[in-house]
Amino acid sequence: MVYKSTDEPGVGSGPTHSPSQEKETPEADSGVFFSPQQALFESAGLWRANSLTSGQGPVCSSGYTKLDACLPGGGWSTAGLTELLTDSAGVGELRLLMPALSTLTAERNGWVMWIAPPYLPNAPALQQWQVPPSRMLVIHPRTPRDMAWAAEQALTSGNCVAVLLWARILDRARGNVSFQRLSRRLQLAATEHRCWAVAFRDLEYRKTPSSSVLRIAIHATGEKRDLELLKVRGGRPTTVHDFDAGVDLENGGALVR
Amino acid sequence: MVSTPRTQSQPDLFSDVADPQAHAAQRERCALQTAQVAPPPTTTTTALAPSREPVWVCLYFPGLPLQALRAQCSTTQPAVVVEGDRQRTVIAINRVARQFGLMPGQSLRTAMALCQDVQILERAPEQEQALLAELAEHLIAFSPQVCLQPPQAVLLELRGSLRLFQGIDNLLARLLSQCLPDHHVRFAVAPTPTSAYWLVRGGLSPDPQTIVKQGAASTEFQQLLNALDLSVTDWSEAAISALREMGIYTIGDCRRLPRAGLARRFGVSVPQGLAKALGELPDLRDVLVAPPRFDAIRQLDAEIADAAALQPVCELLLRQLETDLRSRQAAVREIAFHFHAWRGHSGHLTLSLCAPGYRLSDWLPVLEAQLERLELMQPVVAVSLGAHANDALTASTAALDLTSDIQCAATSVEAGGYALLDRLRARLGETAIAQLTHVAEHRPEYASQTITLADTKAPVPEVLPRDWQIRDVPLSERDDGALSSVWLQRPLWLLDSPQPLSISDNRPCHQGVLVLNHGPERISSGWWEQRPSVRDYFVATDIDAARLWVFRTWTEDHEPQWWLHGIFG
Repeated sequence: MVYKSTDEPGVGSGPTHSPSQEKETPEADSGVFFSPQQALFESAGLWRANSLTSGQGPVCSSGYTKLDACLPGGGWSTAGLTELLTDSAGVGELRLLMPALSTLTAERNGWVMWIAPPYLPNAPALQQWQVPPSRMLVIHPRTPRDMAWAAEQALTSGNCVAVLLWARILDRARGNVSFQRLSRRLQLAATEHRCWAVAFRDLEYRKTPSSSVLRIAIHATGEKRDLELLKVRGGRPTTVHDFDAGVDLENGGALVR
Repeated sequence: MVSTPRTQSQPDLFSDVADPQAHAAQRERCALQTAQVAPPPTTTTTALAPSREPVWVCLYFPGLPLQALRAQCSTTQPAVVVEGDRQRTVIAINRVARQFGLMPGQSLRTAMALCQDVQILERAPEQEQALLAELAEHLIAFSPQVCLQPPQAVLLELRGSLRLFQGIDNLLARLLSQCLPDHHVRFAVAPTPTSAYWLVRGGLSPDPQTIVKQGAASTEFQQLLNALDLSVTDWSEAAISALREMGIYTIGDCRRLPRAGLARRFGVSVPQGLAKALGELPDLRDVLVAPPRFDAIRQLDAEIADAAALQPVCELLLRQLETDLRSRQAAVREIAFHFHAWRGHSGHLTLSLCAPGYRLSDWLPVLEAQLERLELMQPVVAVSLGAHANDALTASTAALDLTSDIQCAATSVEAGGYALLDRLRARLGETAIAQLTHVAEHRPEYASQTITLADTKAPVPEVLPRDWQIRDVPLSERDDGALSSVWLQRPLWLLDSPQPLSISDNRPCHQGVLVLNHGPERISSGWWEQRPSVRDYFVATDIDAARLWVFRTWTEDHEPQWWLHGIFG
């Protein structure tokens, strides 16, 4: 990752480095002049600072103001792969997604695919979060290969608003279906078909690289839930303390927004 | 030469159509004449013009209830099929049971007294009807007019087929021998469908030749019909018993009564039934039409042993199916490929869709997924494809580019949603895919249910509701305190079945002692079942700060028992 922040000299919004100028460079430098800076701009690994705030693709508010403030574009990037790392199920990982799922299912027609969840989602609770239970599809593939295939099919079909994947089986698998290898494919499929992919993994994988747009580790201390943003494409890694403070759980989170 | 017989026959014909009374009078005169001249009666009747009346044969399958259950029925042990709630009556028996002296019509108690280890099967009307329809479909080969007479009979009109099959005797012989080798069958021939059905139920049949030649006028037919007991009719039990109390036991007795009076006392069904049986009223019935079927076979140039190499041939067949279905404006939900080997069978593949489809593109992803897994027993030399076209084609409307096509996008997503389901099902199996539903129930394990594709062959209900309004209740109302206090805490994760928790120091433990935060919320329901549930639900926090949904029940010794039922994700 190459970061260039705006305060460094030479990468400002000066006229010499505007995108229109950049396009002309191949003709300009063909015979006369070739600056190392321009070569740098053309390299694929460079992220421009002015693209940081805008984020890429569609964004959906997470429903939690503290979290929204730290995410580029002010919400989940719903055309990409998001990773949530937890040490056990039930530490608030679903609560984190529910407001966004509610918005997405209301906006668009399509399934929410749950691939290999550890328990069954509870329909009355989903209803309380204003997520229609009849749009949930729960599938349990038997092998890692089937699981990887199903996830990719769901993402590329264009009929799913979100694909939630419990990747424990894939993490344990080796070869092409291991999550590390698969994450790139899932990320590309999600971006291309504008589908929100969410992978749930164990906290032990926080150091291993992956192609996700966003990686969040959830730490639970007492009643508080802290979100550690490990990787934020288009933003900066940071920590959100007690993300759902002030959310009225008595009301099934209906007052989040 | 030609004109003379016509002029002679014309008044007869005319009178036959226009004035039945005159015709009857003429017949009477004729009968009088015969009585006076006294030639034998048979010769006079044959002298009349040959009958043009329809010839109905009724095939009655007494063993149908047993046949429908033949999968469960044993062949070595005596078995009976019973019917009825209180008075359970035997309606069919197998061959072994006959040796024990069991008979249809006996009560179940009698049957059990006669034979102790008799297998008792409950009658399955739906399977019977399916079997009857299947039998009737085979009979379409003999007549264009085949009608079902539920529960156990099929009616065929044979007048139109007499010449083709060279006479009624030949036709009946072929009908009984070729088509129905497995089934015990009784039959009766009569000029009307109702009378044929009555006769077969009464166990009587007039000579088919006489019916063909003379129709309803034949004395044999009239005598047999008159001799029938009233129980052969489908009139109401009350009407039949009332008639019997009046001393009227047979159809003949009934015919002697004035029709108007019968209609007043027993309703119109009694005189109408009589009139239909005698051919005085038209008897309209639904004619069975065979469902359109697609069958095609392709020979291969060379033997193929690899399943994946069969795909081009399958595609050709599917393209043929598409053309066929398009021309019929039909669609199918299930098709079957059969792979033939030189000797016998190499394998088969059944493809099914959630929504009826007809295009090659509908089937292709499913085919690919299943061909991968197909194991061929022998090299394949030919591939055949069969399908019942039983669904109407529903085409989606395409929108013009200019219009805003939100609705159109919704329909295409709906179709695509099914396609995704089909692909997943083809690879993962029917049981691996489930849809979540919310049922109005107090008990949590029943309130949230999953329906797998295996549970229902029909498309998943309310799959993608087009007009789903998520905010059906305005948010302002939801903010209302009175309403929100009604909402109770429900966890997002539910365990398959409640998991027992250990108890230490009178408190529930789950990886450490739990702290109860909220509760109790009592859920008491299910009194209509064996074990009604009375549970006190609590929201608890464990050592890892995960919020759990636990409940307490009481044993018979008034000891508390704790269970984990959900996790607040």
